Amino acid sequence: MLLSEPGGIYQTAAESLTRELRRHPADWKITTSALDGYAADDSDLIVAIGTRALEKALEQSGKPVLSLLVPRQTYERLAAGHVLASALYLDQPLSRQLQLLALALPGLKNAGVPLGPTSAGMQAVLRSAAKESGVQVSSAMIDDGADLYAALTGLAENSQAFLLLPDPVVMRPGTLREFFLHTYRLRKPVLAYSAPLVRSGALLGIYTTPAQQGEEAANWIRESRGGNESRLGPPRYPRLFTIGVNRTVARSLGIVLPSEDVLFRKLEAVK
Amino acid sequence: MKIRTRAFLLGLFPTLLVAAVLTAFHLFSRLNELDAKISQQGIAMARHLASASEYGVISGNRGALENLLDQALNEPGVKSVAVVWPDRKQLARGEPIVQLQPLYQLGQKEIGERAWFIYPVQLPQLNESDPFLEAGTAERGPLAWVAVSLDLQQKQAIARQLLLASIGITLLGVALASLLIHRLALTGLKPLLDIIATVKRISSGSFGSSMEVTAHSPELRELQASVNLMSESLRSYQQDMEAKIGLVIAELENKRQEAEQANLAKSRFLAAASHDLRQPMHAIGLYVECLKLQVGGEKAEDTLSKLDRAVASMVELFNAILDVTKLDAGVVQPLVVPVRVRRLLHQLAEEFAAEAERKGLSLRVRAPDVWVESDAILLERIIRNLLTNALRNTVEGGVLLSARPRRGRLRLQVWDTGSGIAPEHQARIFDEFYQASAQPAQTRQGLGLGLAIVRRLARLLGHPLQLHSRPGRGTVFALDVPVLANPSCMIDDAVNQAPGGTLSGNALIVDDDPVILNAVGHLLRQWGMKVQASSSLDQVMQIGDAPDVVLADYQLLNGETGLMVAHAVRQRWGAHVPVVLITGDTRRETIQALRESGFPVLHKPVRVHQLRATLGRLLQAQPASPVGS
Repeated sequence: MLLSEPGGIYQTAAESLTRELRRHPADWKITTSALDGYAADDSDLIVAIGTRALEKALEQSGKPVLSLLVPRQTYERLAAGHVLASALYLDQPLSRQLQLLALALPGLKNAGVPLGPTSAGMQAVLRSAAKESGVQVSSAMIDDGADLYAALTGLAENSQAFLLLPDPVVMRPGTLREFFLHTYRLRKPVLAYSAPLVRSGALLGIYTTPAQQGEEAANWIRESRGGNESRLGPPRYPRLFTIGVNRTVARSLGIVLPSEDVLFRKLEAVK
Repeated sequence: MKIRTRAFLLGLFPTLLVAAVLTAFHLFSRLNELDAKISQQGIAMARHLASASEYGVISGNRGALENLLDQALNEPGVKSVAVVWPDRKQLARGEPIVQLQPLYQLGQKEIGERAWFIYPVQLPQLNESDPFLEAGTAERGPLAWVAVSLDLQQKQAIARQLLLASIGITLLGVALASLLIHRLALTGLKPLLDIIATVKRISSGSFGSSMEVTAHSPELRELQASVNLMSESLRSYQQDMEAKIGLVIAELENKRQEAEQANLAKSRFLAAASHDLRQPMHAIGLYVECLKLQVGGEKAEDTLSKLDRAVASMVELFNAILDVTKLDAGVVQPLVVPVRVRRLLHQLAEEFAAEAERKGLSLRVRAPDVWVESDAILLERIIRNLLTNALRNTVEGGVLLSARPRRGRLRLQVWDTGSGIAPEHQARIFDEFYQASAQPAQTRQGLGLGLAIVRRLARLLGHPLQLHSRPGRGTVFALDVPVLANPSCMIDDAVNQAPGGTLSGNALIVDDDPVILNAVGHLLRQWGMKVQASSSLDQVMQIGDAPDVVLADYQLLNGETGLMVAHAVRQRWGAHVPVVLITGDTRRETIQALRESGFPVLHKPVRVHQLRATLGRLLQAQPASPVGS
């Protein structure tokens, strides 16, 4: 296991992975290494946890690499051409997000998605996901330096809720507060992609936790090693996920939401 | 009101009034301004904080709210800040938050030294309706409230500062105004004030005071000059007067000295008369008494009786003149002692009973048993004279001696039913030798000195004396005597009764004058007493038999006195032996010394019946003597 940084979410994911692999007795040899002290060894698989770990692991050509805690777009950009690499994406499939939005807000027809330079490439995926989920999606491009609030206001005209995708231009750490405040004033609930964003003011969020990533990765590795087939298979979205709801925001906006469990079960049922 | 006061009032009052009004106005407007400023600041801050809290409140981000409140608390004048949710939960910073319920009724409120500003946190209303969010959004109240409290102490501090500054400026103004009034207004008045001061000095007796003629206006200059002139005239007039008065005083002084000389001559004469006449008169009285017993025959008795009356009359006159002289000369000093009034009145009544009976008059006494404070001898003298006067002037009816308490004093009254005194004579009745002319000539008796003595004695004792009389109805003299405050301690003194019949006992007579010694011895033997005579202290010490009573002249030869004899007798035969001192000395020291000695004293010329009464009383009071027969 190669960690972008020792500790934090990377450590959580690594521990979960180790714990899960060792639950069923198997002759696993697991070494954990930080980025600095990493040296090539005789391991069969490199589990790269985090973006920088993935970059480092991909440098070691000839070994299979499993990427954890890296969004799909990042992975695709970094791992293009690496046949031995695969990934368990950090982000959720868009259709799943849209479906959750539809479940949480019955009667929802339109969702607005602010896109930045990073997430601009998702437009095609968005369209297909919209079709899949039955929720119309309109998007607005926000360039670096553009007026986020004007764009949001424009987007709000055709949408009843916002879907937030990871993009450093859209969600700048310094403007988080202003972003959410603006959505409140527009009375638009936001579906976010991480627990901190839910705590920061999104109405609800759907995300995979580092522990879930570790757990799912362990299962995947075990399954891929079950036969003689040593290939990991293509990258995929996580199957394990968590739904988070900010009840204060719901109360402030006057929205009545079912519990997270109910939402989870409904979403599983749709799938 | 003084000009100076008026000038100051005129100058200062408007200054003070304007200062007060300006101060009040300034203070009022400044405080209003401050109120408005604080209010604006508070409202702005609460509004801003409410807006800034929106995110934290809506997202439930407590950290963000805490940061916000911490920042707000750092703003100047902010005492406390709080976010309060509808469920009364609150997040607060700063000084203790007071109860702020119900919040929606408050916009701004002053509690104690803090002004509170409340502003709701709520999402702005949307113009467009959103069917997706419609449910439950229609009547929602604020999400929370923001409360900011500002300190009002700065307002009070500013008010205090302003007030102090205003007072300071006012005082400065008053000082300046006073200076100006003094310099500008009062300088013009100075000549007038000078005139007033000068006139005041003149009126207080400082004639000749003048002032500098400083006025600019001709009228005032003239006035100043006139005042100076008047002052000068007054001074010269005063000097003239003083010279004249000096002359008059010198003249008066001469007259006074002459009068003093005359008075001195009179006193010398009286002293001589007192000394030189008393002795022979004393002797004549005694010899007449002896003759009465020696000479027989109706004619002789008649002559003797006339002689006796003539001598008595002469003694009386002599005593009266001497009394008046003594009283006028101030040699008589009263000795105030407790006096039992009823007894005094009864004694006098008894003494005068025979005379009243002779004239066919009733003589009664009506008095309570009360002690008064007075000189016993002088008081008796007053009443005696009044009684004598009453009996003399009453032809029919009677005389009443009465006493009754009146306003803390005892009013002693001598009533008679005599001819009365006409009002025109009442004022002069107490003058020497004055006799009311209403009385018929044949009834005139006495010397006209009795009432003169009464008035002098009453004055000397401080007893008010009054006279009420109606012609044809009678007269009443009243004397007010202070009542003794605590008479219970007084014990009755010796029974004072005049005895009758013959006397018995052994008498020792001491006198340096053989004529007197002889006459008195003769008299006492006739009364039935044994007599031993001696002329000096030495002889007294040689006498064998113990005397039952001693009669001693006060002034003996060789500087010896009756008092020395008395002490020697008491030393030799015991303190029970009664001693009577006889004196012709009218000097104040002598009278005082005799009075203080406590021995009975008889004054020359001694009346025979007085001597007999005294002896009788003393012998009766004395226990039986072993040698008395």
